[in-house]
Amino acid sequence: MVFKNIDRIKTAIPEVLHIVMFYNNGTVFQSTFTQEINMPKLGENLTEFLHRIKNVYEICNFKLNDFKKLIFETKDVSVIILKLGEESNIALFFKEDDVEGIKLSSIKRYLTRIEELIDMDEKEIFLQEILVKEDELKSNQHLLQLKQDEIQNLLKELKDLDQGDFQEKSKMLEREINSLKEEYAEIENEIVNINGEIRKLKETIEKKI
Amino acid sequence: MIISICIILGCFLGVVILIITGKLNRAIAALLGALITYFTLIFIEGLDFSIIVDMLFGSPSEGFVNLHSIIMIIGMMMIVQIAHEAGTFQFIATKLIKLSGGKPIPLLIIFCSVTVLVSAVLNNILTVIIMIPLSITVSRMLNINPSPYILTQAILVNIGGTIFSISSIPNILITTAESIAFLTFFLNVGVLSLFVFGLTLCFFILIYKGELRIPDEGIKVLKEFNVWNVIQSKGLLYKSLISLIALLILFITIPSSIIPPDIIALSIALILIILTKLDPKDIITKIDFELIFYLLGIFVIVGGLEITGVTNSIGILILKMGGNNFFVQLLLLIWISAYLSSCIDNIPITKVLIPVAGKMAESMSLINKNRLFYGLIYGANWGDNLTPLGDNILVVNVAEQNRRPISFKSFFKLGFVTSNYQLSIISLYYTFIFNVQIGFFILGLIVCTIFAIYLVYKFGSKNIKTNISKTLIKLRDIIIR
Repeated sequence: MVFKNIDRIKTAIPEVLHIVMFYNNGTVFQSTFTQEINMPKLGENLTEFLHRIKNVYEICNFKLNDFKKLIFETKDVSVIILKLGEESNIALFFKEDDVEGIKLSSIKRYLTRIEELIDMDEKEIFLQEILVKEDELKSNQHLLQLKQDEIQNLLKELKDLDQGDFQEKSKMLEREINSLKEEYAEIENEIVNINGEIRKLKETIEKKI
Repeated sequence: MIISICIILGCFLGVVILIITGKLNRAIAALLGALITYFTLIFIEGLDFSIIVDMLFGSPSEGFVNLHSIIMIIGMMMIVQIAHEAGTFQFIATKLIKLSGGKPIPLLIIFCSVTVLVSAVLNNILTVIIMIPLSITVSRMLNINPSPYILTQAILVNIGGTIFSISSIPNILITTAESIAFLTFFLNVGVLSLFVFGLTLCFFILIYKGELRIPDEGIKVLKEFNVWNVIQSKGLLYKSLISLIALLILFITIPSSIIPPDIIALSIALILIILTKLDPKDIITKIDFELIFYLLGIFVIVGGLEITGVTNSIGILILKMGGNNFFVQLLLLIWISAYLSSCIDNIPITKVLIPVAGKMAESMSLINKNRLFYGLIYGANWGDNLTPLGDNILVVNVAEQNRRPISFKSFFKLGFVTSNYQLSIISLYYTFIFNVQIGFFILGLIVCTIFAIYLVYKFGSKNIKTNISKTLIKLRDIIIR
């Protein structure tokens, strides 16, 4: 999955020497470097890079909205750090010094795919919660329908009662109908609550966007 | 004496308030308190400087207990720091997490077990710093909400703190003061803690079962995560792993009368520094000196409370409250220490309660005396989660820093319920030890209630079934929402 996308990037841009995918806490997800490299330190230092630049922005009173890429060019090897997801980045090491000439747009879709795979966005959590709530809603609506049917059946039974044991049975049926009505009201309440929760979650997603 | 008692007690409470409110750094607050205690004892009580030295390092008659505690803490800090640098804990954790195959329940079990395992060696703060970001990173790969995993891990950190005598500062203070051997501790406290961990895990599975879902794609991504990326080098990893195993073996096999455990820890730490060729300056600067100064300050203040007879009086008070019944006194000590350490840092609480328990144990057999200290260990360690006022607040901060904030309310609710549940299990265990009939009666009552609910649910009418499941869902929602 992720490996495939790395291969595709390397095919699209043959100048790429190595690729490192890392999270903002320094954890390296995958890298094309061999294991002899001190991987935690590599992740830590790449993250440190981004932190330092962020600090520079703060000192200069610049507003840092969302970092997109960081380029470090040298004569032999150059590095581009691209932001992937909420807390993940990808570092591309090139053997060229002219990284400006490299068309990163050709690998954009692979980057998007990697981002989807390795870093779930916070709004995705809310969307998942909405899905769960919607399932709950559906099952409650189904339950509501069942209760409605039960009430109808009992009302019908009440109508068709024989005169002989009318009093006794009617009381029992009325009790059952009342309890079903209570349950019905409770389910309705729950549906209102779930709808409220879904609305709140949607509002949170909108705010995040 | 009354003036000195008021000053030193006021000092202790002042330090506690300063720490809770965060108005002053805890080390500075404790050292300030220690300084006031020093002036009180020297100028009001007319004692000489040697008493302060005794309070700082422990008197020769007590076997320099405080000094041994400090050496133990420094030694363990060095070993743990090297293991952390090597990525040992991260490696073990990631390797085990991958073993779960990305299935929700096994993943929860592994996350929780790894947390307990790591916190059995590391202190709670370091465990949280390692485990919470790791869990969040794994959750990003799996495409899942990490909240259930973070919350359960944060709460189980305290159980890990009672597995070994080196697992937490209260344990080190108590076992050093009472010369409780590593193996004795593990067999009496650690094994029971593991049992309680098992029951807590069952409780978590029960309440989170419906919440845990993992998409197939996430499982495939997790498989592609290279676990070797978390370690610096294989050589360093093996050296740190071997040293940790050697440390545990030496703790178990060498009696403290021959070589004290703190000296073993320090020796292993120094050998490890030499073997790994890591920069010693780097390791030394990473020692938590704030904690050391804080401890030294607390040693002096609590020493002052001991000299003025305050701890003695608390001991007598608990003895009287227990009505000369050892079982009741023990339960009181467990619950009092738990609720105290829920609002106040458990280090000063433990330090104050050690002489209190000592006073209570004066006329007791060695087994009962040790039971009192074991009770104190459970209370001081596990009470932390009753409120989010202690170190555990760090979990909320770490989760927020990693952009996966957890609700303060859910953390508090789950922590409160779980801690009371764990303390109740320990209380039931002691009930069995001291009064088998009552123990069986309580256990029988619990089992019968659960069985009765199960029977009613299984064979009852549709309405009853719906009501039972609704009540259970409501209860679950109260705890986790």
